[in-house]
Amino acid sequence: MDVMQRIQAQVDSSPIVLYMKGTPQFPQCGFSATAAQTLASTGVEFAYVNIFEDQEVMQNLPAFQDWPTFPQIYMNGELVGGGDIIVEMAQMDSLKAAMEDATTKFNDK
Amino acid sequence: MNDMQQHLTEQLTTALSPTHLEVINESANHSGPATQSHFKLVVVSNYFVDLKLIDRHRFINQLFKEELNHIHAMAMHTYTPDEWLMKNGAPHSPQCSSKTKH
Repeated sequence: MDVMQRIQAQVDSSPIVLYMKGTPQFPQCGFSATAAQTLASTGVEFAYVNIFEDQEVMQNLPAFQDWPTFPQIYMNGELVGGGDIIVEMAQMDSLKAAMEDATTKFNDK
Repeated sequence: MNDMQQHLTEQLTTALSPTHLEVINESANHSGPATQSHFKLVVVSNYFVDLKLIDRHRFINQLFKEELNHIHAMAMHTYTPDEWLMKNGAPHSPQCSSKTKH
């Protein structure tokens, strides 16, 4: 399995996947910390990948869905965006609904 | 105003004719010697009216594809004029000490 197939398998394995620097408990970047906190604040479960633990994923993720920066948030395999977008969605009160919707669709598959 | 700040401002002005534009150099808030490493953009433009958030960000990512090779972080806040009226400014960027690109 090449790295792109591996990333595809990761984003397909959970309804919501956060690619971040570090972990939600020990984030290693302010933008990743904000993204993890914002997702966690909804109370909806999400998965994460620490890109520092997988150099190959870190190097190839920007090309996966053409997004140059980290963190990246995927819902049902589709890129939702980076940290700024998650924060904006939370402020517009649409984040929790989007996460719940992704989870429902995932479980119905 | 430093070079990169001016460059970003000019490019955004040309591409999006913003009704409100802030290009803020936040590099001093971050560790390391770089003085042009962290920027925050607040762009209000009619161009965004029919674009989803991700597509607005993609547009700017594409516009600054080359620059992003040199900039560590670019926080983006994109609004239509109507959305901007409903808000009281863009959120703060987080602090960070990482040496790799966001």
